[in-house]
Amino acid sequence: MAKHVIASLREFPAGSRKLVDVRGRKIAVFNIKGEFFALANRCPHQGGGLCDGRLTGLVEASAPGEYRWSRRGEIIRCPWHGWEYKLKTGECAPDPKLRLKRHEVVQRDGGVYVVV
Amino acid sequence: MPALSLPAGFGKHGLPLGIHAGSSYRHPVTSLGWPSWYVEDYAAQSQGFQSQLASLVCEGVFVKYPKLKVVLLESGVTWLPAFLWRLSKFWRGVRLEVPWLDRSPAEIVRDHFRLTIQPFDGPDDPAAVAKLIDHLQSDDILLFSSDFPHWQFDGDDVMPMGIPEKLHGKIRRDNALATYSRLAEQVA
Repeated sequence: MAKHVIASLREFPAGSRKLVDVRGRKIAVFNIKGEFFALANRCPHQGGGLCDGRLTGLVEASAPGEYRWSRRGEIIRCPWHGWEYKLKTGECAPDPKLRLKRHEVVQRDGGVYVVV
Repeated sequence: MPALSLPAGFGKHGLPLGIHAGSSYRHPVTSLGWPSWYVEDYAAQSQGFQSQLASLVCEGVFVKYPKLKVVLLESGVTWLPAFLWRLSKFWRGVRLEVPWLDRSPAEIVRDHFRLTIQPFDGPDDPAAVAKLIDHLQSDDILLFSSDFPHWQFDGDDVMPMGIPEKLHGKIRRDNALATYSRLAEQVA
């Protein structure tokens, strides 16, 4: 495991995202209100690039006909076929058995690092 | 709109819901209107079953009635795996439309639907039939039926050719007893 610098904190403000290549791995990195999340960019379904996906929430229900909007801004949807992943865990929302690889993100001395 | 309205008190007595091929009542059996010929009409019955199955799953009937079993009668069997691949694939992409479904339609169908084995639409090669049965991914889903005296061009063997031997006991006996639980009470 090694830390790889991907950006300075200044060029990676809250609300932005970056697709980075660390030792041949494509990693999508998100800054959500100052908290960083890094996930494998490739959707396990057919390889869509998650960094190009829409950041959205999770629609849940406990009964037919009910809609509850939760985890606002914490779900990334694949731009190709709409598969949903939780930024915090990498889990596919409808199927937690399916999980994107997550990477730790470290901020130090004004830099943002991804651990690979 | 649900394709089937369930009556008040439904599910109270633990009875399975049986749906038999026939027609779509006042509606044409296909989305193209009424077919001109019997052969088209009969082949199209499986479309009706597919739409009914999707409707019961997506409307959340099994969320409301978690113990309900639905038995499809004279439905054919071999269309099911391909339809479940399709339904489950689209569900994954547009799951947020029906968030009350907590797992894939394929899993819900395996838990709640049972299909009877007449008529059985399959290839002549027993090895190919065995593969088709394997695609169902469940040993519990098929129930014996003869559809007597309605002849289906299927011959008069008790089991369609190529159904693996290990499933015969389940299809002839165990699966029906598990589905119609009140029948099992009387047998005991």
